[in-house]
This record gives sequence, structure tokens and C-alpha cells, in this order.
Amino acid sequence: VTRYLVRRLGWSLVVLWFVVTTTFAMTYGIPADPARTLVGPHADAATIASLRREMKLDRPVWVQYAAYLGRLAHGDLGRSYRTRRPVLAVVAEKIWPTAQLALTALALALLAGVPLGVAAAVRRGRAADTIASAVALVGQSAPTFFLGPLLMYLGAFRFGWFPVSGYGEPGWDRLWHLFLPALTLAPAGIASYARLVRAELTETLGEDYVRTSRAKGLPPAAVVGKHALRNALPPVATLAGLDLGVLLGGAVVTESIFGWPGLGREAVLAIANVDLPIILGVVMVSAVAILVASLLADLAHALLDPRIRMR
Amino acid sequence: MHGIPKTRAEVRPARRAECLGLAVLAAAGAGAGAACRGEDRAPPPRWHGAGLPGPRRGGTLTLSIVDEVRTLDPAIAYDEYSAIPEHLLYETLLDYAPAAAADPLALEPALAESYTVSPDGLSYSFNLRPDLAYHDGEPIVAEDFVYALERVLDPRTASPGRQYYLGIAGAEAFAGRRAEHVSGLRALDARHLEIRLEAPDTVFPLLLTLPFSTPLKPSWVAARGDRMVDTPLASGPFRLAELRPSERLVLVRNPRYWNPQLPYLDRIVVTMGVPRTRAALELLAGELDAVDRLNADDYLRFAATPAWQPYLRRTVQINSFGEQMNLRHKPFDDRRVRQALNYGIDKHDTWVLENGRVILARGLLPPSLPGYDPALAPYPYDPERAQKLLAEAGYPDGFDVTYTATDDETAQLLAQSIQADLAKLKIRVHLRFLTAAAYFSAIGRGELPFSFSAWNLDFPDPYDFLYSKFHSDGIAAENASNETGYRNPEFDRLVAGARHELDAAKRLDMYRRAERILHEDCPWVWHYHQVMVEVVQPYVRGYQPHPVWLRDFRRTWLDGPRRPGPPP
Repeated sequence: VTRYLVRRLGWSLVVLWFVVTTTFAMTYGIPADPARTLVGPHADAATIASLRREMKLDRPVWVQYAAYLGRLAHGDLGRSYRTRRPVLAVVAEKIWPTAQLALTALALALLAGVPLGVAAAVRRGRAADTIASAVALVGQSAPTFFLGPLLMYLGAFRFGWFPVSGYGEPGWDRLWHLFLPALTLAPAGIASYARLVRAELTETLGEDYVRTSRAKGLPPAAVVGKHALRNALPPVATLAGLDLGVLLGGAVVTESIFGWPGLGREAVLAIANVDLPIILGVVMVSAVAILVASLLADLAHALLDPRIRMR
Repeated sequence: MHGIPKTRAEVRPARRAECLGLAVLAAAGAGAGAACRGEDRAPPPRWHGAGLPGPRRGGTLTLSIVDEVRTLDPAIAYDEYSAIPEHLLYETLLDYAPAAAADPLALEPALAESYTVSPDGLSYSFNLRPDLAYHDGEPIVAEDFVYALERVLDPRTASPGRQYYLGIAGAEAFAGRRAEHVSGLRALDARHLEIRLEAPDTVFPLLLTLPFSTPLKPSWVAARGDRMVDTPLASGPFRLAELRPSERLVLVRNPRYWNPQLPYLDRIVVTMGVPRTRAALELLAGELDAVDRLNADDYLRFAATPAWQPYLRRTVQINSFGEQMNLRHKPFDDRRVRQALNYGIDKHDTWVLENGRVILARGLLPPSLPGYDPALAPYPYDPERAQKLLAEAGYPDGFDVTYTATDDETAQLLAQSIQADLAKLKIRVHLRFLTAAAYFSAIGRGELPFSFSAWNLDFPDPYDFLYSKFHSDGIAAENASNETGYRNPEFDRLVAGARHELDAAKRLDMYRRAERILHEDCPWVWHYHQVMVEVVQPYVRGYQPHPVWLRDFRRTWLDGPRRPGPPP
């Protein structure tokens, strides 16, 4: 297991380096001057030139790249061009709202998706299956930029059950604010979990041990719950882990629609204002989240399924 | 008209299917259709005021802005979003009269109780009000103004305001690090400040209203360093209670403000990063108290709803929009071509596309600016004359050109309208849209032949418009302020001379002569000035956007507590 972990970590570092380098190249390719963006269109040329020197933007790109990697090796992600705050502090502050949104959306997706998948598998070919497939199809194909405004219009404006946007205060107010954005993010997850559970369960329900447990007279609920579902869960855990990794990188569209102050919205603001250190920081956090999540998902998969051995 | 509608009546049916602010719902079919009954009008206000006769103290005003407030450091912040909290946090020596005054551009003493100018216009003496203090209780003294201005002038600060104060005696030497201090700035004692200039300067008092010149305590700045972005030292009617970057900002009443009558509000909450469509929804839901610059769809609905009419506040902005033609690129080196474009673009289209929220331009200077010339004859829409000028210049069959604009909704619509108009002159316009950041970098390098351009005032004087955009001093390889490469020695002489001319009549005459030269040479298509419309809740009183500060809530009060139901 140790060797496996070391190898995984080594590859993770390579992936991270690749992500950083690609992002660096792309952001420096933006034909916009961060210094001019920072001081605004009314600043004179002399002021912008001195700011470029101060921000070290007047140096060749490869020197800036080397300096960035050097600082990165010491855990220094630099400072935001926009607010001059340390990138690490900004990211640490913004990841919490994103985590709350990600976990809530994931919980909603699992709570709705798994039962839907079970219903579809047990009653294959009947009404429940058809309904589950239809929900899955809609969930998978409704984009957040469509679903978000629709839910906002209905839930917040038309019926006034929820606030239009914002983060709210900790406690119930937060949950109240969290509901619509989480509901916007959840359907894609509901769809994929329902399909996965249905597929896995259909397969395991045909296995010999399931037939045996049926034959020994266990009630149908126990057969599904105790034996079949248990074996269908490891892939679900893997998928959930990967989803969480992706969600932790920030839900760019949903966060922007609902004014949710997480990483995704921060990334949008940073891109609009050519805030390179923040862009790099957010991309890096997303990459780390996905790498860690996939590692944990693999480990969880192994724990849940003793048939898997790690090498 | 190539699909561009001519009147408001033609604009509206095309947009009928869209719900308030949510065009996407039109695609949702029947369900959404049912949800937007009365799609042409906004729902009436859900709250109204208590009907108090005069200002009431207390209450919280909630606002939103599209972007974010990046910094509150008064030496650095210089954009339309930080301007809102800045004007509430920072008091300066002088300020403009309130928006409701007969002349809102008149200068009034603020932290200064009075001031005198020497007859030669070189020396300003300010007497500060007694017992001035910052929000932390520390006294405001004359030395703090000296410190703040030196901080702005110090090149290490990289302040966008540095250029404005280089006319103070000794400022150039200080900015070039050849002197310890600015010799023209002197605190005679705690309450007396003297400023000497290199040359008489009629613009200078206006520069003392900008937040760059707000007083600062050296010990406060030294203790904060980089944190100056979010720890403002308030001298204005409000102080900062909370700043969550890119999320929200809360201001509360500053009890140490010199004017005990103001402000009326206890708190102002500003939510950042709220798109205009969502802001309109939040206003209707009662979560916001005021929303400025609505999208066209939303604006039309509010404008068509009688119940909202009394709560739409209009202000003619002091800005100028046009299409700039780069004189270093053929065929724009030929004045006849530039004039042809001025005749060939139908500005009425813009009035339609902006739903009447513009004033069509005669020339560069906007109508609310002193020095505006009502006798200046605008270029009428005259495609035949345009065609003739093009033929004279050697382009009877037009030419190909790329037009660049920013990627926002209005700029894209206008670009298409211009493309359609110029197609009739056989000019083939290729459109290109850039993000604002990329656009400003490209325009500053003078590499765009033909592009959208705009100027928003720094201070209400013709000098700001004429000099910044068209004086040859502004031509540079990078970050040029003169982006067209326009160069006319007579124009340069008049504009530079007018700033130092103390005789008001003579000065205005010089500006007018300069504008006429510019009008004739037309490096821009003189196009329009914006009218800002802000919708407020019925219980928001004492608010009118200021021509300079725009969203100025110093005298705003809430007629409350608010009550449910539309106003009687």
C-alpha cells in the first residue's frame, strides 16, 4: 500500500506541474495588461510603467515563470493583483462556501439518485423505471445556466420561498440561501447516480448469491438492501468522490448566478480583471481537489470491496 | 434598416416573450410563458414608505454593484465601483454641491471652512473647520493633507492620481525623488494649509474634491501597509464596518463626521458581483433598495409601468461616447473620410437601441459640462454627403476595416448598427469584440484602426475631455491616453493655455475654439452621452444621482419603516 501511495503522489506532482505550466502559459497569453487593468483607464503611462516594474511584469515571461515555480515550492502562491491579499488566504476563505455548496449538492444528489436507481432496477421495465430514466435524462441534460435562473425565478421571485441570491448568515439562514444553488447543481448528480445504481444493481440482482438469498426466503427488501446494494455501492462511492473533487474546484456558473462567494465566482472575477495569481491559485486548488478526491475514492473503493488489492 | 428597428414600438414586440430579466425562460415554453403574465410591465412596488414629511435618521440601505470593490486605499482606488464607498468614507477640502442644488457642480467648502486664492492664482490658503476628527477620534490636522498628497505623488505608490497634482510647486522634483518633500505644500499650523502652484491653474480646486486628496494619518498608514486596501481611515459621513472581498461591504454612520446633521442612514450594505438582471429581480423582491443602469429589457418594463414612474431617477452623465478613427491608419489619415463617417452613421438608431437613455452628441463635450457649446452644429445623418466625401477622398467603392468594441450587450448592438449604416456607403466593417481588459491594452497601444471609445469625467471641466483624449502630449507607444494619434498645434495651444487662463470668459472661449477645431477634424464620430437611470424603492427619499459622483447616498433617508403594498 505504501508503494502504491508513493507512486500515486509522484504522479500527482507531475500532473500538478503540468496544470500549473499550462495555466501559466494560457494566462500570460491573454492580450491584456494587468497593471493597466489595476489602475484603470485614466492612469497615465508613467504610472502604469512604474506599476509594471513594481509587479515585476516588465521581466521576460520565463523569468516570471521560474520565479513563480520557485515561490510555489516554498508554498507561496503570491498576492492578488486586485486586492493585494495573499492568494492562499483568498483561496482558504473562498473554499469554505464552495465546500458547503458542494457537499449539499452531493448529498441531495445521492439522497435522490440512489433510491431512484434502486427503484428503476427493482422494477425494471415498469413505470418506476421509465420515470427514473426520464428524470435522469432531464437532470443530465439541463445545464446549470438554464436551471439556475429558472429556479431563481420560480423559487425566489415568483413564490418568494427562498432569497434571490447571496450567502446569508451562519445557521438556518445559510441553509435557506444554500438551497437553490444546491438544487441547481444536484440534478446532474442525481442522473448519474440513478443510472449507475440501476446498472450495478441490475447486474448484481442476477448474481448467484442473490438468487441464493432469495431462495432461503429473505424478504425482497432485505435481499436488495443487504446483499445486492452493498455490492453496487463501491462504484457509487468512487463516482461521488470524483464528483466532490470536481465540485470543490468551484461551480463557476452556479456560483456566479446566485452570487455564492466561492472559488468559482472568484475565478470569474479574477479572469475578468486579469488577476493572474488568483487564476493560478484557483486552478491549482481545483487540480489538488480532484487528485486527492480520486485517490480517496480509490482507497474507499478498495475498503468497500475486499476483492481489490492495491499494488 | 437591416433589421435595426427605428422606434421604440418596433423594439418592444420582438422582446415581448422574455420574462423580466430572464430571457432564458422564453425557451422553457409553456410553463415559463404562464409564469410571465403581463410580460410588458414590471410588477408594482411591493412596499411603500410611511409618508414622513422630512428626513428621518436610521435604517439600512441595501445596494448592489456589478463588479467588486477591489481597494479602498484612497491613493489607489479609481473606478466607478470603488467610487461609491470612497465618496461616503472620505471627505476632502472641497466638494460639489448636492445633486438637488441649483448648480450641483458648484464648489463648496467641506473639511475646509473657507479658503482664499491669491490674485495671481498661484497660492491657495485653507482654513480647516475646528475639531475635525477621523472615525477613530484622532484629530485631522493640516499636516495630514500634506502627507496624503505626497503619498499620491510618490512614484512607489503607483497612484493613478499622481498626474493630477504635478502642478503643485516642487511636485515634479519630489516625484522624481530629487526632493524630500513637496515645497509647495505647507502646514502652517494644525488648522492652516497653504498650497502653492507652479502656474495659475483653474482646474486645481476641482482636484481637491477627488478622494486622492483626502487627509491621512502617517501613523495609520505605516501601521497598515498593504492592509490599506481594507482598513480605510474615514473622514466622511460613514466608516467601514465590514469588507468581505468580492462579496459584500458594510458602511455604518461615522459619529465623528464634522456635519452633525448627516448622514441620515445608519448603515449601507453593498453586495458585490450582482449582474443587472438579478439586481432587478432583487429590487422587485424587496432585497435591494436601488438599482442603476438596468438592462434594456428590464428598463423598458419599469418605464412602461406607471406605478414605478415616480421612482425612476434620471441624471445626464458627464461623459462622451464615440467611434475613434486612428489617424495613423489609412484611410483615416484623410479628414474627408472621417467626416464621411460622421455623416454616415445614423445616431438615431443609438437612441432607439438605448431606449432613449442617451443624449445625441453635437461634439465631444456633454451638455451638463461648463463650456458646452449649444451653437455647435452636429453632423446630420446624410449618407449622400458621406458618399460624396468618400469619393473625393478616393474611396468611391468604400474600404474594408475592422471595428473593435468591448463584449458587453450595448457595445455589441451599437457595433452591429454601425456596421449596417456603413454598409450603405460600401464600407465593409468587420466586427471584433474584446474583454474590457484586453480592449484597454489594445487601445492604449494605438493599434486599433477603428474602435469604440469613451471618456468619463475625472472633474467637470472641458480640459479633462479635450486634453486627455486629444492633446498630442497623450501620444505614447504604450498606454497612450491620446489613442487616435490626433495632433493639431493650434488645438494643443488653446487647450493647454485655457487651463492657466484666469479670466473665465476668455477661458471658455478658448475651450470652444479648441472644440470647434476638433469637431472639424473629427478623430471620432461624435456620438452620444449617457443618461443614467436608477430605480429606487418608494420609501427611498432624498436621493438623486449626482452628475459627478453618480451614486451619492450622503443625504438619502428611508421613509420608514417600510410597509407592505404598493404606494397609495
